[in-house]
Amino acid sequence: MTAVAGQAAAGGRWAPLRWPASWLFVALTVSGAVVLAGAFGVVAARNPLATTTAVVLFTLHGLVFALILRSIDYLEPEPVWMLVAALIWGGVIAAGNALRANVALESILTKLTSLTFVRDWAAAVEGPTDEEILKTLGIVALVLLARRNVNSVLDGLVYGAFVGLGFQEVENVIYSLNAVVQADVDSAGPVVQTFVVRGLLAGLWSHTVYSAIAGAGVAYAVLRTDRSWARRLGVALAALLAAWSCHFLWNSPLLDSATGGLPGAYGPLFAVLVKGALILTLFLVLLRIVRRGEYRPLTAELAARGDPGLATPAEIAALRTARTRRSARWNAFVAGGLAAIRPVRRLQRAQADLAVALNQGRPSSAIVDRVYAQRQRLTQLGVVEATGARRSSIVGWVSVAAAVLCLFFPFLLIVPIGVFAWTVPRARRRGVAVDPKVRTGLVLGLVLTAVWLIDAAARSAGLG
Amino acid sequence: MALSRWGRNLVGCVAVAAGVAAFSLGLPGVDAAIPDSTVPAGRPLDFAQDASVEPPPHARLVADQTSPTEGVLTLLVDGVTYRVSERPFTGTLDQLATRIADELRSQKGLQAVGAPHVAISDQGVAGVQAAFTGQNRSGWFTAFLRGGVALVAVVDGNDASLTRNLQAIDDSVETLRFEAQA
Repeated sequence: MTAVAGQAAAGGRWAPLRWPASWLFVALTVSGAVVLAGAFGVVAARNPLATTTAVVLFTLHGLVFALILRSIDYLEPEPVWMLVAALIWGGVIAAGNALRANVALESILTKLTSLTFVRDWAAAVEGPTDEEILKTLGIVALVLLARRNVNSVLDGLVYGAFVGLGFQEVENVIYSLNAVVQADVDSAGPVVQTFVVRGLLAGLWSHTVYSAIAGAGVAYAVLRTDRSWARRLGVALAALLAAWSCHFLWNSPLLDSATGGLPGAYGPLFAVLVKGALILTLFLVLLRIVRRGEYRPLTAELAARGDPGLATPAEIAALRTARTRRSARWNAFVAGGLAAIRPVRRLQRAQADLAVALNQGRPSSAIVDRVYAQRQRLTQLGVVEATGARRSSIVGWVSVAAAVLCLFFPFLLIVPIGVFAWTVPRARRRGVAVDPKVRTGLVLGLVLTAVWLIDAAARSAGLG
Repeated sequence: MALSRWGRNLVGCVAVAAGVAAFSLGLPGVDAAIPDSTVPAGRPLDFAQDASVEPPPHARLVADQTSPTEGVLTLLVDGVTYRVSERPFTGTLDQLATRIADELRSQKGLQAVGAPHVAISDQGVAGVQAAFTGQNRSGWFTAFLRGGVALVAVVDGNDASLTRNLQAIDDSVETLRFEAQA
């Protein structure tokens, strides 16, 4: 399957309408949309307020996820249209077909097992089986749509995550509508409840994570043509099994009985956190391994150039994660003021583009010129190197601790502000770095103080 | 002979389409091919997290309209549909009866709903019961309410079948039971 996909749309001028994959995608999208509209159109029309609230809330929720996921593959960002296609597959094609499949599978389970089994385990069997495979087929379809945009295992992970994200947010809206039907009132209340439970408590370790794992497996099977067929297929199936297992663990009643002794909502909450932590840990470990696999080869050519005008070793290291890139911008701010932040951002983008171009053997003078232009701008501002090196300090920790306490004692905001005002100008004069936690403390303090003020205003207005 | 790139893309698409169809069409087909099973009478069935009912004799379980995860059980008794469900409800018994009557009136063919009267389950929980009549089907509903949770039974069928099975199904309705203390 993946070998066919791997060669199908590779190379040559890309003409989307020429390929059967494009037509398949359109046909399945239309049929999925019809299924969803048939299932929920009437409910949505009867409850316009709740439907609008659900769509807005979960779109914003999805946007936050999308921004984070998009930054995962900084060196070689995926084209937006591919990410949109991934969202559509997850949210329309997989979600629409899973509706029918889940009902049928639950019915089969009811016929073949007991009602007690179905009550306790149906969700753990149905969801993973139907939904994970349908979503993974979407990742294969993306490979068929544009194989040349799948260049690394990390690409597969990101596409998978976007397929899962589309599914997750549409499913969240569906759950919201079900809650509204149960409440029999067109209000935002049931939607907000669904948002808290599914968006906030369960959102971090849901479909996005499962499909990301499966996506990495598909990409491995497509790309590692140096490995045997059996191995590539085995890795893809193992990744799908891992995604299935995560979904199974989340939907199953495992741990529920073990935590039943805890009072009130603490038992279920504890079970949710333990399951979620296990799933998220697996994902983060995989992400770390996959990222390392992409970062090293992609930056190898750039590093081999040995040209500090293009990129110093510290700058290449800073490209690796969002955290180190932020640290580089912070260090530049400390050394050169606000005006230095944007040139560093542009320098990093140009260096990343250059690294990919060098890796593909297609470096252009335009990219090199972009790097030199930003370098010159930074030199004028007194920033000699966009390094992401971090310095830890006690005042940084003090700033963060005081910022957290701002949620209860907002006057403590003076601590992170004071630390910032004291350390940054001093460091700039001396030409040394400042702990990024000073910045974190300031931002966190401002946010939590704002939360305290909003809460106080709501209480005084009688809304609390 | 090796396939062209277009041909390989087509083969891949057929594989993906077949995979999607297996779930969207294949599973419902398999479900339809497996016959509904009969359920033993008189033995409590846990149809929801906190609720059970003892089915009447000769009841078949309608699997595709049954979902213990959603607290719904649908049985078919000699052509009579017997559906029990659990749902959260924070109002009074009268409000619950009004709501169920509204739901029934909104269905095609069910038009007249009679005045509700008191019903008591074997468990001793108070409830309401009312009959309804449509063009060619009739039946009744029963609802019990305790601690913000309602157990609702709706029975409907043609007159001959209903008459034959009325007593057996009504006995079953009275066995509706809240399993957890509210």
